[in-house]
This record gives sequence, structure tokens and C-alpha cells, in this order.
Amino acid sequence: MRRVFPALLAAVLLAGPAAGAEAWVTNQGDSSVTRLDTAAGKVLATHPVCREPAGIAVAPAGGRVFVTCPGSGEVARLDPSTGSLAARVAVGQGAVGIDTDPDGRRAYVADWYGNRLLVLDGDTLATLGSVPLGPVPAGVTLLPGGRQALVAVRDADQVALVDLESLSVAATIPVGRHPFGIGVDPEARRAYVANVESDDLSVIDLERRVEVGRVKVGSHPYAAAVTPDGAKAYVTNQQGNSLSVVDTATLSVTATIPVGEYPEGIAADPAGDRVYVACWFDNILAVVDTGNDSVAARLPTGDGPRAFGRFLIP
Amino acid sequence: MRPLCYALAVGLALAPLAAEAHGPTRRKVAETVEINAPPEKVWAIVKDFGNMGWHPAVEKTEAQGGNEPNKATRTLKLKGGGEIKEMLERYDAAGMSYFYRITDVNIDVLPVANYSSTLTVKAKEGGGGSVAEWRGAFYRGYMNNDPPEKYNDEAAEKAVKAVYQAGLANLKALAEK
Repeated sequence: MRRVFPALLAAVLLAGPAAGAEAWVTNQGDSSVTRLDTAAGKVLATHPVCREPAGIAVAPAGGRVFVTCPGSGEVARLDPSTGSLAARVAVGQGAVGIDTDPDGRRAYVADWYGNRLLVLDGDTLATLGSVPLGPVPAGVTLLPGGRQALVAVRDADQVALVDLESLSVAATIPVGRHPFGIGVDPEARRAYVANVESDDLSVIDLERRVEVGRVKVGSHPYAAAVTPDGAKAYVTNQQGNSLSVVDTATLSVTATIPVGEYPEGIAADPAGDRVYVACWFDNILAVVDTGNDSVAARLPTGDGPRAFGRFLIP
Repeated sequence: MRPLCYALAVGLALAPLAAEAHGPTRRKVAETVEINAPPEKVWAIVKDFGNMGWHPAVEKTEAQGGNEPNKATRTLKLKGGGEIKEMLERYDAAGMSYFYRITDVNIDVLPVANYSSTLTVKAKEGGGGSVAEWRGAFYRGYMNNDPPEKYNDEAAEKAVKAVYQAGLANLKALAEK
């Protein structure tokens, strides 16, 4: 799997100037998803979904986008070509974090109240199984290749590494207080975990399965994304209204970027030099230039954008 | 302990009938008021974190730490009983704005959790007056599944809105005196 990413990158480069990624942003306040063309800086469409969507996971290769709606206790599947609701299923009100494999064969949902990871069929959204976890599972991030997932078990202050074939916990890794969102570099060497209560970022060595560093960031860090080269991690400081930029070699903060109020979901463009940040209070998607670590644009979204998860279609 | 709503003149009718239980989603409330007074005059009324006497529901404020971020704390003693403990986290005198959070409150006083708030005074665009804005982000007070109606998302939003509206209305009255 590690070789696939450079190959993909090369393919994109050969294809000429990279078109901007398409961002799919869940708008909690108006129960919709906004699709944005990040290069043109414009809204392509707004699609109604289930109530108060929060989490999102795109599987463009499989033609699938999954959304969690804690407001109505549902998971929904959208068709990315039309934005229409293709399937929806009741899973209970605890569905927040979600991720999927690259083909969208399955969706993995953290069940906030049920203390488990739910495994859903990507087509029918039927529950195929579940993995018991500790209290309040929050963010879910699949490792490249889609055979393992990391789940932030918020109230246990740990990250669970889940084997998705055996549906069992392969390791639990203690981190800071109340881990929430998790970013992983494209080569799956490290995971970066935002710890909401301890205001820091836990750095996990994925081979050794241990925390190898902890970096103090801003107030209430929420989620993290890593640049395609793995050199920098960006963390949303939900109550600091900023991003912390972490040099992954030295594990130090090299910049703090004021970005908007209540920054939450964040994703790095796999083909470019941008990260995208949903700012919940301001109703914008901030576009950050990772070359100079400044905000290049603020694009409008619906009300209460969260975009918690994998929300970019390259 | 009497809820804060009893201390407010505005009616805090509890959530409507069809209120459904919600999952763990944060709410936001933003209220503004236009005031026919210069921003400096309005700011002077609210600028001391340790004195919330400008809010009609507050009987008295016990405070320490002045306006120093992450040091300043206050306890709001409410008319009719109940109290709210808060901490100042950011203070921008030049920008006439501060950000603080509730560190302790009984949900029968204010049905919220993880509440943080920003109060800002700006010059009104076009001059001649000010705009005061009070905004907050919070969860409902009952963090588990299936909240009782009085602790659900709608109840939390309604309560915060009422606090803001009553406070801003009184701020306007004080500043326009």
C-alpha cells in the first residue's frame, strides 16, 4: 500500500495542473451538505441530508459518500455524482465519527453512546458487525489500505487500533485527555491525535503502536490533518479559533494561524499545498496555503459546518 | 434552587411538544443589539469581567483576577438563587471583546454544558452608535441519550437566547441613559 500513494501522486502530476479538490461539508445547522469546488472557490451545490449531519467519509472510487446524522440518529449514503440520498438507516443517536475504505465497501461508525465501532455494508448500510470499545468513541480514521482503523476512545483517553478483518482491537494506545479527531500521514507511519481536554496533540508511532510525543497546541484541539509529504501536521483549535502547524520532524509548533471561529473538520489536499478547515461558528470553509501558512480564501458553507472526517474528493 | 429563567423577566417557556431527543451536537446562539451610544461608553459598562451588574438576572458578582486571561474568575450570584462560575480566557481591550467559559453550573440553573461565550462591542457601520454582540457555543446540559425535555437542545438554546436578550436589552438601556 505504501507504494500506491507516490504512484497516485505521479499520476496526478502527469495529468497536468491539478484541479482543486471537491470538498463535501456537513452543515449541522441546516441539515445539508455543501459541495464546494475549492479551486474555483465556489459552491457547486447544496444537498439536503438527514438531520444535523456531523461526520462524513467520501469514497470517490466507489461512488459513495457517507454521512452521520446524530440529530436523527442515522447514517446516510449519497451519490457523489448527483448528491442525492441513495440510502439511509437508523443507527441510534450516537453516530458521529465515520470513515470508509477507498472503495466504500464498508462504512465504520463510532457509536458515541453504544461504546462500539459499527461496521455497515457500504451498499445497503445494514450492520455487519461491531467491535466493543471503551466509553465515547469519537473520531474514526482508516489507515491507508483500509485494513485497520484508529478510533479515538474519548473518555478512556486512548486510541484503539482495530483490525477490520477480524473485527477485534489489536492495540490500545494511551494518549492525552479526551482524544477526538485523528490524522494519519499518507504512508501510515504516524497518527496525530487531537486531545480536546489536555490541549495537546499525541503523536503515535504506528509500527510500534505507542505514543512517541506530545505537542502543546491551542485551546481545545479537535482534529488533525497531515500534508502529503508528512512534514507538517495541522490541528484545529476549536476554542482558540486557530490552526496550530506542527513540524513533524521536530515535533514543535512552527505557526499558529487565525482561521475563523470554532474550526473543526480539517483535511489536507493530497495533490496540493492546501488544507481545508470547516469553521462551525462562522459558516465558512477556510482554505489555508501550506506554503506560507496563511488563509488564502474563506468559502461560504451552510449553517454550522463540521466536516468531521474524510471530506475531500481529490 | 430556582432556575435562572425565573430570575429573568422574559418567559422561558420550555421546549415545544414535538421536541426530539438529539445526539451530541453543539448549539450556537448569537444575539446583537444596536445601541445609540458610542462604543467606548458601551464597553465601559461591560469591560470589567469581575462586574456583571449590567445583567438584570445577576444579583452580585464575586470575582478575582481582574481582566487577566486564564486567571480571572467570577461567580455570578443570581437573583432568586443559583450561581454560575466562569473563567476569562481571552481579553482584547483594543478590540473591545472578551471570551470566557462556564466552569461550573447546575443544569437546573442553566441547562447547558461546555459553554463558552464571546462578548464584543463594535462601532455601528456608518457611525453614530454601537452594536453589542453576545455569542455562545454549548451543548445541552444533559449529555446522555434521550434527554428529558427540560434538558434538551431546544431548552438549552432557548435559555441562552433569553439570557443574552435580557442582558443586551439592559445594556442598551444603561448605555442610552
